[in-house]
Amino acid sequence: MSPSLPGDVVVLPAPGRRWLLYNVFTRTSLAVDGAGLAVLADLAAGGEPAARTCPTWETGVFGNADGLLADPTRIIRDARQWPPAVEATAERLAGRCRELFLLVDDPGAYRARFGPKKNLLDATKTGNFHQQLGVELLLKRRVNPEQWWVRQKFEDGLSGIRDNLYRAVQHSFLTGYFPKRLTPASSVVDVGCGVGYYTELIAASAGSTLGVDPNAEYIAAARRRGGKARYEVLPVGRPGGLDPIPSASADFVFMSDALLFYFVPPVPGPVPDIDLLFREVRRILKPGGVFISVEPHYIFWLAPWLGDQDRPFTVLTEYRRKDFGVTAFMSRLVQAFCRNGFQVSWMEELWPDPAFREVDPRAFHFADNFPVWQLFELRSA
Amino acid sequence: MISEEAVRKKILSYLEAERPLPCAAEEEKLSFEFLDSNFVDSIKIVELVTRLEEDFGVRFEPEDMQSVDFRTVKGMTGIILRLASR
Repeated sequence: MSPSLPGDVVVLPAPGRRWLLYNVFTRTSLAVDGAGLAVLADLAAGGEPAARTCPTWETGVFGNADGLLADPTRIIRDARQWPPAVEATAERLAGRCRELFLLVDDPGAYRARFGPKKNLLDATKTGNFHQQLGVELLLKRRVNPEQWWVRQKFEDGLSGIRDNLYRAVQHSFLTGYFPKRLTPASSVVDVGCGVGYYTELIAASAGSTLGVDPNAEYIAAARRRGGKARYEVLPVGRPGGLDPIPSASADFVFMSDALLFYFVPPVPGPVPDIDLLFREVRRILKPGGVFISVEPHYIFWLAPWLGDQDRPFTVLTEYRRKDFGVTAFMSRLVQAFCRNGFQVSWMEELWPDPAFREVDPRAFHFADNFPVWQLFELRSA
Repeated sequence: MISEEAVRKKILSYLEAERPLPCAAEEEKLSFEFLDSNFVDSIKIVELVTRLEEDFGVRFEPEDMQSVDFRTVKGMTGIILRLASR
């Protein structure tokens, strides 16, 4: 049986009469010239390839190793940065395309590869985004994931947000949002506050501000900053996790980039109980208090950035069954809110600061059309 | 020259630091699939990798770690001996 080019593969034009073969599901790619493309077409048709050899360019890169908000496409964008061409025989080209899922012998076996890994070393499954990141960080780069999570978002010394979409969208939005929403009379609890960066932004506008997080190292870092907010290590998400916080004590509860882990855990294992968390959030809110949730967008987060720099498009390969997005799909998230007595009183999608256009045009134009974060304001029903 | 016995013992000592492998005979332990049976989690396996690399002065490639051999004490021993003899 001859191999086939799976329907998951798209061919994108590249400079210099070259073609980029890209599997949108595995996000693997390889560039070839016209002769290489003909070789693959010949193989898929069950014939003998006309060309004996052709140049190939390795165009793959794990872009998100630089951060969660880096280009998630996994293609080296600038063709001038591609490694030198490798002259490949038709057989070698076919072999490399098989490794990259650009050519498939057994469609059933290929389909069966998609799914969560049993553990980090499980190479039989492609795994979800968290697992792929774990393989990249722990097996290939050998970096501590906890330190990586902080470094990819913050500048050294935690003094500021790195100049990527975190700053251009999330930080830029919240800098304007908190002073409008909070007053010096507001008491706020930042649940899952991490190293306390946004907690201090809240404290600048609010009265009493408390940041809580299960990670003791993050809380120690937050305290070292010496800001206005108070911090406590609390086992957020566990039964009784927020018990030390009195009932009906907060005007606002804020959570950012945390709820996604209640739907898809970062490491294989049980998913924490979001109902338990939401009941706790509701308990500590005053009557009429507001729960503010800022999460990666349920559709567009980590979607590929394709097309021209200033006219991007994306290919959605998932919505309900997530491999890359690892966020809850819309009804699942909203149902979790409603099930626990919250009503949506406001919703926003967050757009980048126009100044970011000069910093990273591709990221700017993508995020300016396909939102990367969403905000919900929720009140007790 | 590192002996097969020394490598095997070292791996077992790390794996069994908290609890013994669920095997009756010593031979069984060598072919017990400690990863697929979830005897160790991903975090533990990374610790194991780091320690063994330090102990034997080797560096595992991602391909080594994702190979079938890496899932048993016997296979892992073979990989370490191969890398150490380079």
